[in-house]
Amino acid sequence: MKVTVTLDEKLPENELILQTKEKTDAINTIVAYIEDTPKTLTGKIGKKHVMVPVNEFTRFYSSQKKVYGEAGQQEFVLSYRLYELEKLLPPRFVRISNTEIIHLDHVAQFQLSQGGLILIALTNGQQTSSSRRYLKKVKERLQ
Amino acid sequence: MKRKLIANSLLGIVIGTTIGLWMSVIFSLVFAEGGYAPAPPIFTDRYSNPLQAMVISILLWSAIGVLFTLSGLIFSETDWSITKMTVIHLLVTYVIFLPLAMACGWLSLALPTILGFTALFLLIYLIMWLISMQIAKKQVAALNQRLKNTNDKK
Repeated sequence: MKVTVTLDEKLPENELILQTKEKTDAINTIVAYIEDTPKTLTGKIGKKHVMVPVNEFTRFYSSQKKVYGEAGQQEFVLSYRLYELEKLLPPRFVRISNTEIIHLDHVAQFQLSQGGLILIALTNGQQTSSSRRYLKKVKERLQ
Repeated sequence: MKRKLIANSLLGIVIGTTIGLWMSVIFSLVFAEGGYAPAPPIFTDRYSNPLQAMVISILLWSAIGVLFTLSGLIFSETDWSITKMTVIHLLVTYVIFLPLAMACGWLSLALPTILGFTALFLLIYLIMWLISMQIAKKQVAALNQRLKNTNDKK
C-alpha cells in the first residue's frame, strides 16, 4: 500500500483523516489499530512539541487550567483535559484525585500519614496524596 | 453540590423526625405512665398547649436530623485527612447540637450535665477517629499487598 502523509494545520489536535478509494478490510484494521489507546502523547516543552511514549509518563496533573504530564525529569504541557486523559490512557494509569492521574507502574508504596491522609510514594521519590473517593478505583485497577 | 445539600437536608428532616418520634414514644412508655409527651416536662411546661409542644418538637427533631446529615457531607465530600474531618465534624456538631438539645429539654444548664455531655461527646469522637484510622490502615495494607502482587508477577 502506498502511503502519503499530508499536513493540514486546520485540523484539531489528534484527528486523522484517512482518504482511500474503498473501505477494505485492510483499511478497517488500520483504523482499529489507530483508534486504540495511543502509544504516544504530544506534549509541549518550552516552545517545542514532542511526542512522548505514553508509558514514560509518571503522572499527569492539572494546575491553573493547564494539564501537565511528567515523564522522567521533564514536564510537558498537554492539550488534553484530565477527564479526556482518563478515558484514553491505558488501565495502568488511574485517577487518584480531582487533579491528578498516576501511573501505577511508578508507585513504590502507599502510606497512611499521621493525620490520616492516604499518601502515594512514587519510585522517583515524589509523594502525592489520593482522594478517598478515588481509592476504590485505584484498588480495582491494581488487580 | 447544591443538589446534594438539598437532598441531604430533606433526608435529614425525615430521619430526624422519625427517630425523634420513636424515641419520644419509648420514653413516654417508660416514664409517662400511659400518656404521651414529645419531651420531658421541662420542655412541655414552656408551652401553652400540647399541639404547640408537638410542633416545636418536630421542628427541633428535623433540625437535629439535618445537622447530622449535612455534617456527614464533611466525610463524603471532602479530601481532608481523617483527623481534620473528625475534628471539624466534632466542632460543628457540638456547637449546634448543644443548644438544640437544650431547646428540646434533654439537657439542662447545670454544669455537671454539660461537662458530662461534653465528655461523652469527646469519647464518641475519639472512638470514631480510632476506628477510621484502623480502617484506613487496612486499606493501605491491602493496596500495598496488591502492588506487591502485580510487581511480583513481572
